[in-house]
Amino acid sequence: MTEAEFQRVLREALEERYADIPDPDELEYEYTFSPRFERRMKRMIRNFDRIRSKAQREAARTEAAQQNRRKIGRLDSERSMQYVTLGRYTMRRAVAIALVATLILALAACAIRFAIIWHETNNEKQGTLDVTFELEDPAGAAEAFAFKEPTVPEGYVRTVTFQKNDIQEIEYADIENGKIIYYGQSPVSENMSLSIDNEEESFTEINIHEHKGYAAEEAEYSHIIWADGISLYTLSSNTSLDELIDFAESIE
Amino acid sequence: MLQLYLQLLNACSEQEKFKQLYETYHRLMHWEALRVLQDRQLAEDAVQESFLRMIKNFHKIGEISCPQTKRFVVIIVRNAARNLLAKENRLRSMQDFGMSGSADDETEQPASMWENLSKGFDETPDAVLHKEILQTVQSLPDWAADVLLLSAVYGCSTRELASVLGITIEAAKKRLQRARVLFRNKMKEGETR
Repeated sequence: MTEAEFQRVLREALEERYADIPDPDELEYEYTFSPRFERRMKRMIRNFDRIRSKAQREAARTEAAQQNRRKIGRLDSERSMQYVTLGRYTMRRAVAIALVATLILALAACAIRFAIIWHETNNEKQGTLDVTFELEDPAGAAEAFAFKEPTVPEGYVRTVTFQKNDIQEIEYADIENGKIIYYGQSPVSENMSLSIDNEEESFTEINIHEHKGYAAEEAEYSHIIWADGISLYTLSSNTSLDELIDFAESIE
Repeated sequence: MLQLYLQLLNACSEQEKFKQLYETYHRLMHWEALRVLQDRQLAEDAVQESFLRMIKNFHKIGEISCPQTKRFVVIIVRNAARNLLAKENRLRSMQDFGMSGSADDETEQPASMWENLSKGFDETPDAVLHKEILQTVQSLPDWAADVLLLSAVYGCSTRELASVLGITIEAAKKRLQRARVLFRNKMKEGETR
């Protein structure tokens, strides 16, 4: 038997093995799916393009991260043009700039607390929680803004960083376990409005160092968003929500 | 502008295709997941997880109503269900699925699915070899048949295997190697019978 024939026979044998799977039309199986399942699938179909392009971007990023695994020391300078998403809230990445001046500001911001009020509207039609912010001292908050970073968790490496003006986005990857964390930070502002999906059953209010925020777990990803009166922080990851909260709390 | 318009049209048709895929197979998938999980709610979770994996590997899906797509969705949901079971600690880890003995002695690092697979059977008459291949494939455990089918018939790369099976790339690589060794060992056993 030639190599090609061997391959053909093996392919046929493998296909034959699955021949007893019933055709969907002939399957005698009645089952009423739960409303939760129907709702989630409806949403998945609606968000097909978003989920697919996000997966493609992640695959490309994982590929790049693996290729550069031995060059981790240089990874901080790498670039990307992706987005961080929390439900329907997205934040654009931008080109990198130096952060020497902002590190100095970070030291100054440590001891200051700025009050922030969340004005929330439950948008039942869209299935979102619509939020605007009221700041006690907008000018002071803007002045106190500084980039902050979480502690890199064990097993993770800091792979990609973007900073432009006052937006920062960083990725942390645990290549061995296929885990990735997206961290975003930007100044909180009264001009800002957010729409956060709140249909997930897991959607819940959280506190990070006594600062209000929200968390949600989807099928594959967990998301957190919170604000400390100066910055708005977002975290998305395919790790557990508990791990994500620990990660958030590592930001001093 | 025209290009953008065409891309939008394409995106719409892909979404529509996904909807058709869902409508055609979600009951069959739940039925299959339930066979593994014995829990209707968990089976729903497995179906949902499987559709997410299908979105990620949508380029592998051609015609909706055909045996190839049917096999593909069943393999995905079966593996999603097994992963859920493993997660629920009701079953040993997927890594342990029938992968004992000689499979762990694997040292070869094949460059492709087919490399060395047919080696050593040159002297066997075609009719006998044909029968042995059929019997060997039937005797393979599901995990090995799934990974061989995805690789040999669907042309999945290691990365795609990982995505479809819901495991890491390293685990996918290892699983394919073990499946190949298992297949070859069973073929050799068949020859000595």
